[in-house]
Amino acid sequence: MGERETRSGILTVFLLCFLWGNGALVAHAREAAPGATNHTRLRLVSDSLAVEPGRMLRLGLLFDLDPHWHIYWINPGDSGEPPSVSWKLPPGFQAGGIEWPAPERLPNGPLTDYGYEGRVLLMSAIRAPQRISVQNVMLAADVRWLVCSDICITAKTSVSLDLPVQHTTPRADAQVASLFRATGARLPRPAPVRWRIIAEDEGKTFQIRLKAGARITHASFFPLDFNEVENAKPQNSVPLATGVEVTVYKSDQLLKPIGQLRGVLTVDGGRAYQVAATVQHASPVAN
Amino acid sequence: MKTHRTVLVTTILIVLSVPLRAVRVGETAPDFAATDSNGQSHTLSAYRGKFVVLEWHNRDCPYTHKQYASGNMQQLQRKWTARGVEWFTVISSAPGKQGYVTADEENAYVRQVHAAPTAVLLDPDGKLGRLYEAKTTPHMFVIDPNGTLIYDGAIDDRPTTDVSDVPGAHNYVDAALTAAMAGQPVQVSVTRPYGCSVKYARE
Repeated sequence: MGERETRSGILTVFLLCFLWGNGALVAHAREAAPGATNHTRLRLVSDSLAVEPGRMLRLGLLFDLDPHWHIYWINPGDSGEPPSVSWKLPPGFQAGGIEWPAPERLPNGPLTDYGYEGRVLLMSAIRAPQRISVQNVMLAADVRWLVCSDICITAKTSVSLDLPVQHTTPRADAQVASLFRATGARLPRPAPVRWRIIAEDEGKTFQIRLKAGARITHASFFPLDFNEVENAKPQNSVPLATGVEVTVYKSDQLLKPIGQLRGVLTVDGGRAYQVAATVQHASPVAN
Repeated sequence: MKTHRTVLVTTILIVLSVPLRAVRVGETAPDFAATDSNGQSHTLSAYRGKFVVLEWHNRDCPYTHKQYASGNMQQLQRKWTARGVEWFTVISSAPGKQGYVTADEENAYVRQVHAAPTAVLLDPDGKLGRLYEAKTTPHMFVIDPNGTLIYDGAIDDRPTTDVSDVPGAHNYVDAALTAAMAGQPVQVSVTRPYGCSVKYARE
């Protein structure tokens, strides 16, 4: 814990040095009110130092949260609400949705939420139009988020970046690039085509069985849809010779059979995959 | 192929998580006994023959605040208690946690915001909240005159803290009571409750 905080602190110092050294990124970035009010420092960062007509760049909402405060994943779990962003872009620019990194489990008494603590970058792809007639563009976003520890606070702010328009591919600084790279590594990727994944309906539980072709030591499942899995109940991961099996409790609110169990599977503490397990009804006497 | 280990692990998981009782729509809502902010005790079973609403509440939660600042919750309480519904606001915040109030504080609040529930049940030990697996504030339950749970979930379909979202929202509780009182099936009987977590005492 302490080590993680220290590392994150060092990264922050590096990043701040970089940001202050680079006018293009901070010149017009407005921050959310500092920690005392909403426990968040929010900045808009870019993986490119300029906008190139017809090309894509990634913008990221960089949340730095006070210790013990968290924000939420797209499925917040038992309580909470994910951040929302409304992009304010010049004509012709298009923004993709938020790319959600794999979340953490956030136990909270009898409840469990899914979200992020510490530092998290929520990236979105921005496509620039073929023709841009100005020399600088202002990329902005209205952001609303719920931040919680024991209590919850709602926050909203506007952030923006003023970037020059250039006809070369301008590379981001190494520190910011590594931040985008590290976050990219936490984005759930499509499950490999050779994977076979099913969820066996055992009455009270789903046994999610992944055949990946190799032993997987441990996996955790994060449900994408509401009211399918009991978030707060423990999951049990058992390695298999050719994959892994994760047992999750069904939600008490799951009243009808489902055909698919969708979610994110993180394996061996690292990579995350988007999975859609076909539900199989194992036996008529499931209890 | 199912290994013995799998069976064993499943068995252990099930044993560890006893009781596996559930509050489920379509089933009998569990009976409870609780004391209100005027010192009066209530049991669910005493209200057989009536519709009962349970509303989990935390005045300092922005999602609860949205419903009260807009007057929406008070208006629902008035509308339905006038039609014979027993409406219980439940406060499961533990002492020292957000939303915990004494009986006097709660009675002052009810007057101040013109709330109109049948009663406010004080549940500082979280017994009632845990029995119903109340997750958020608000989290709404509707029980029919037979004692059957007919709605479990969110207050409406706009999971935000924005007061301006109240007028356009579809209110699930209002819809459930309207349908059930007219002898119609409840169209949407389970939703994901949204809001702040209920501030239970740590186990």
